[in-house]
Amino acid sequence: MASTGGSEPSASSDDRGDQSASAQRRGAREAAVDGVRSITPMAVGIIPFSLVYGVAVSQTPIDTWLGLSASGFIAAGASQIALLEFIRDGAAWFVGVGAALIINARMLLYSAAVAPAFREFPPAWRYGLAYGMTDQAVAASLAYFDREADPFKRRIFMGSAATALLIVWFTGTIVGNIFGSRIPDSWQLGFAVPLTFLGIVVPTLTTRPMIVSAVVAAIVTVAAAPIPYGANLLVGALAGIAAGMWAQSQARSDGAS
Amino acid sequence: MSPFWMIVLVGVGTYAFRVSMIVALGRFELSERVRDNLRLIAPAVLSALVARGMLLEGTELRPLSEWHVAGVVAVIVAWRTKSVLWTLFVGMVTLWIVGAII
Repeated sequence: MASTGGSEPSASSDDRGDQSASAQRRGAREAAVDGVRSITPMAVGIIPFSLVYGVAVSQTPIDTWLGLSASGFIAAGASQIALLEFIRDGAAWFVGVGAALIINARMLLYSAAVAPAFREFPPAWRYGLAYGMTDQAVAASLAYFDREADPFKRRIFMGSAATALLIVWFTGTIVGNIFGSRIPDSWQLGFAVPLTFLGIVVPTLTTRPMIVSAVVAAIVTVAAAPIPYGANLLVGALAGIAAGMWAQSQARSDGAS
Repeated sequence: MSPFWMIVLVGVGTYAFRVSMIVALGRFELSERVRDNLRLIAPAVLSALVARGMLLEGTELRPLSEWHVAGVVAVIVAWRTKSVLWTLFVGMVTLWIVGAII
């Protein structure tokens, strides 16, 4: 039997356990590398967004460290920017908090989407990974869960992807704040974030219900644009899910008949 | 209410959203049908994010521009390459080139 390369000379009875431990270490490393690799394009995409947040903090009359620490408390960029705008405009607290929470209500949906996979995780992982639940980390992880069934690799993947993304986000907000970085408008970097979402969602549209779900969500989001505080996003997403469920039930009854 | 408490409140509320369904659905055995329905969430939410980001400016429809051209190109690239990195690269370059031309 090949040596496992462990530092301890193992007794023969430990040999199997030792080997599976090293296989597990290898699996963990693969999943971690995979996680960072998968999130990288999306992390690049949020850099301009994170700089914008850092600049917004410097333009809002609140303590700089408090503004930047919102990335730690909230860790959801769009809602952080909205909240800052309400603070800057001196809006009533419940308007700002309410608007930010409406923007983040999609996390409820993400929570449901990852729930089946999270059942297999130990509690500490469940509650820890929930904190790192960002659009990007969830999108990358759900795509990974489709091709990898091992709960151990799944949580390592999501942990590394979520951590890498948050590190980039935090760093970008600080850099944006310090350098008051003014990116030329002509670069149109606001296109980058939706572009990376497009890049991850399009290849997953392989079944009819998923296509229906995505198309209806997009149409309704645009049609519901006048609804304030970004609630059109939620309306669009829910309409898309409902339409997808309808398409799924159609497919089932077709299959049954 | 001070900005500090507003930030804390949003943070607590957002985390509550994040754990809510993990806790709620963790108690039940999920049928295949429910799992199929949960799989529709990601395409719906992400597609809504794309639509808002690319087709809208705030609550207004974005006027026809290089964004629409680059968006269509990006869909094709994403479908063909199944790579976020290529989608990001080709999409941004298309945006800049078309923007420079028109």
